[in-house]
Amino acid sequence: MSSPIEQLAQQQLPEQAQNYLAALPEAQQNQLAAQVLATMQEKDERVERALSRALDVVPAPLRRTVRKMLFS
Amino acid sequence: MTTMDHVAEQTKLERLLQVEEGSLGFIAEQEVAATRLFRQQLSEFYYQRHQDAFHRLAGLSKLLPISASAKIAMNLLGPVLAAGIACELPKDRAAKLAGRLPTDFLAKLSLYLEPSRAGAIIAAVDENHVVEVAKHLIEQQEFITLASFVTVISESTLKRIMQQVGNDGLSLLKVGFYVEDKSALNLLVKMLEPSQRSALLDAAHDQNLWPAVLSLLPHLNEQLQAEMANLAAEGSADVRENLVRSVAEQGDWYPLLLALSRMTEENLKNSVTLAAMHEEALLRECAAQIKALEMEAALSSFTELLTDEQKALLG
Repeated sequence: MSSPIEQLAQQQLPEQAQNYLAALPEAQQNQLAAQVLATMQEKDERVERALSRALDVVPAPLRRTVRKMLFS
Repeated sequence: MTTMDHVAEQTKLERLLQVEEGSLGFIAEQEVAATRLFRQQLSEFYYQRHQDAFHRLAGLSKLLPISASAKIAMNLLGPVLAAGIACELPKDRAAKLAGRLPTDFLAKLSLYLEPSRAGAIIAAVDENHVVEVAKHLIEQQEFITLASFVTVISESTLKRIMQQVGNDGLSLLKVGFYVEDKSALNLLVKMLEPSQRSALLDAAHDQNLWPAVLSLLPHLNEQLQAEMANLAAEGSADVRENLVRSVAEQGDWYPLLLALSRMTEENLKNSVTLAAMHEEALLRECAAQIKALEMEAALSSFTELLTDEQKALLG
């Protein structure tokens, strides 16, 4: 499994931000990168939950279609 | 060396990353400008991951009357999505929409706004509404969010917000401490009532926050530096002793030396006579810092005012 820094690079974290992380001592680098990644996942989930809640008003059989139309 | 500006940046990054304050202590060892840029890029990175969804929802919102959009934002979308959508709307429509939303909802929404995109919207929102939202942020102690908007709101709005903060010295300090563009501190300090300035210094003493309060000083213009330095110097000896010892303990001498260089001769004389200034280790450190920071010329009066006893301590 790739390291948090590699995962952030895959997620296209800006290069300058990657350089900031890379300049830190290894232990700090890993701690911060892991936290940046964890926060990213948490924020993604928060938006995802909010979108699902918003789509609750759409009748269940149509939700997937509406979601596809709007967000893919 | 770690200054209070480093600590402010550390706290702002911890806030963005939703971790406990103080848990990323090593960040304070990094350059302030580099950490600020990292935080701003990170905030934008998080925002861009959902920008497309926000943009599409904003497109739908534009098809509806403002009143319907406001109802949907409040009852269906919630503050997270509403904040993202607001950042994707034309600023006039976003401002109109904000005008239809209750201020407690807007306060929640403001916590999720991407700061680099929110400025234009906030600047377009009605002043009374902005002040009401700020009241909620003050009540909820959301000073990092409040401080991030200082530079985008009008002077009259800012003045009304600072009046809302009142004589709560710690809250006044937090707004100044976390302000994004430190050049805004001139305006902020200038508009403080005399009682608010005193409250700021009282908070520094009561809560042992002198380094944080002094860290604002280098960002002020010379006149305000002199006014604040003299105000501190006119405090009781007890307060001034505490100030000097706090600086010595924290190690960032520049703001204190700057204050000494800006105060009146009489106040400087009173500072030289403090008991702390008669302690060899502290006095030697002070002299060493004056030299290291190349402030000999600016503090020539200070050196001249030292007693023979103090000069002997310096050897």
